[in-house]
Amino acid sequence: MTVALDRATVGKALKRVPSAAWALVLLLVIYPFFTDLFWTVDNFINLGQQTAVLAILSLAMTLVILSEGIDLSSGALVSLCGVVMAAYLHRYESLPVAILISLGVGAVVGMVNGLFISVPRLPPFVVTLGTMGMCQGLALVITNGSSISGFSDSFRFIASGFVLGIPFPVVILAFMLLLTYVMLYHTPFGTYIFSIGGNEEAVRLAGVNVVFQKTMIYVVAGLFGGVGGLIMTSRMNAAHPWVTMGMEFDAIVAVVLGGTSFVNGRGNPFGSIVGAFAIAVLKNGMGILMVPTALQVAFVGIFLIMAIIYDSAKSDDG
Amino acid sequence: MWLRHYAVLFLRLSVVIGIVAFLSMARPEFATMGNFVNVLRQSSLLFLLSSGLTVVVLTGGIDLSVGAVLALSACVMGTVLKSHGIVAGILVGLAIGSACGFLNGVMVAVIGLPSFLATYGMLWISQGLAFIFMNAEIIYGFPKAFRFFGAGHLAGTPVPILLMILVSGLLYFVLNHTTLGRVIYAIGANTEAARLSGIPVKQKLIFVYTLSGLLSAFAAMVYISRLNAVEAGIGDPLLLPALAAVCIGGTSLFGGEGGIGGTVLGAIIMSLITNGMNLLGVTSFWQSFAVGSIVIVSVLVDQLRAMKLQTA
Repeated sequence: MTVALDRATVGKALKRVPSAAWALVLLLVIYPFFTDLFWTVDNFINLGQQTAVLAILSLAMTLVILSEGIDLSSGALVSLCGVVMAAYLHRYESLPVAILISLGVGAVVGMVNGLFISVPRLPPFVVTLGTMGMCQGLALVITNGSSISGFSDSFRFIASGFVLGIPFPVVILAFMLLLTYVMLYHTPFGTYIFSIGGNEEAVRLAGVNVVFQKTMIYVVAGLFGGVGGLIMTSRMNAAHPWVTMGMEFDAIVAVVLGGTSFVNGRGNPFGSIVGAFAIAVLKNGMGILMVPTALQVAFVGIFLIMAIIYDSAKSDDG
Repeated sequence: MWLRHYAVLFLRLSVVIGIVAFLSMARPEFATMGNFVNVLRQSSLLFLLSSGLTVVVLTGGIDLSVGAVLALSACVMGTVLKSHGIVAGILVGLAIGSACGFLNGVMVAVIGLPSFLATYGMLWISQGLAFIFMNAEIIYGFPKAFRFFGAGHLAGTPVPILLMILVSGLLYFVLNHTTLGRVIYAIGANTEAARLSGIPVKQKLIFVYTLSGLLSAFAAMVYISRLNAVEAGIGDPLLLPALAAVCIGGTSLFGGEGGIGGTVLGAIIMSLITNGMNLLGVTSFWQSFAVGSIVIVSVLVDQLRAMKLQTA
């Protein structure tokens, strides 16, 4: 079977490329003109380690957004998981239990989100805004406003170790991506995520236990957040209750940049990772160029709006 | 239907009375005139910020940028105040707030973005701009005439309280006794039906969001006038309480239901809770947790009530 390589086919294929890819390529090409420090092995390794948490959160956010929801508590949740885990590690030694704790806290908060969103059908942004406040508050209460630091070498391997020359966080990220891909495209759960996002009422009428499925989506998102908390705490060798504040914003932008639409049920997790890297590269470059953080935040906001406009324009003709 | 509306307000009023009674018994220092005035003044500040939000929510949307727009307007206002005088400062500040609101409106009505996403983006943009603008500085010490808005008294009452009465009265009149008000409720109740009946929905939505921005800027004016200082981060902790005030007040997030009276009571309840937590010695960390849960609980209660009425 031959495929005609005419303008129409190429045009349609190009349209499927998420704006994230364009943005990433653009940034990678432009930055070297401004600084020599960008295209170095050290910088890229650093980038990989830094972006892992955001990329994992973006994967979780992809699932949530595909189901027509949103999770504003993502960032605060990562802090809370890290803080609870750190409080445990301060007294006891067991690393496996600590990992379970981080995941567990994520799952519990995710369940709270999911239940309040699916049973009384409260708007997701309100529920997760509320849980964001709650997680933030809890994290501050546990640490009493400061941070918990000092962990064992084996714990710090999670963020600073290398496996076959690749930073461990990137390995974890690759694994999570594989997991997400399989979950979305090769399990009934994945089909439910897409269909709930498309037409929730139809799914309900088809006899699916929407309450359970929807809650599970947020539980999974919470679990991903727990993994993020692990990596984050290990990377900084400390658990700060406020460090990941605002990360959910970057995750949302990453997902939208990656081609997942709020309008229809279309999206892909790989695009979200590309989006996460696009944002990380944007910030990395700006950091090297000594752009003030506040301006970086404003830029990411503008990125978001441009990406959404591009997305709406695309789906208008598509 | 109007009976249910008044029932909602009556319920809120009972909550207010209940909290006041409880706190007066638990902490005698609560039941002093000075403290009451204090609580009312705090609620006025919160109300002014929540007033624009209420109108937006009535149309079925949300404005997550209120706190950040307040911060940005406040920063610009404070700066221009010092260099070009009070009138210029206020006008520029209000203009900035309105501009942000206008952009929100365009994103929601013309481009068609979901309101929470558009205003969420605006939140970060305004906040970022505020930080850039201030460059980590704090501006303090405003002229006495300007301080009248936040710290002055008129006929023995603090000015913020009078402003709350004024703004709530105006909004109440517009929402309940003008065509514009009817239109706003109609858009919230059923946007498509409103459009089909000839209402220029896009135009009205842009107006509503611009109004929200303007009121946020107005709130900023009173806020920094009272604080006598401004820095980039003042808007940060304000979004959740403002949203809570609207939700507690009974205005439905799905649009078409509720009103400004509810938000007044909601703001008072929020301030009573904060005041109570302070008197009872609850740390600010737990307060953050509390506000988050209050938002969820109040939306939950409202939704359950709506669901019950639907099946009845």
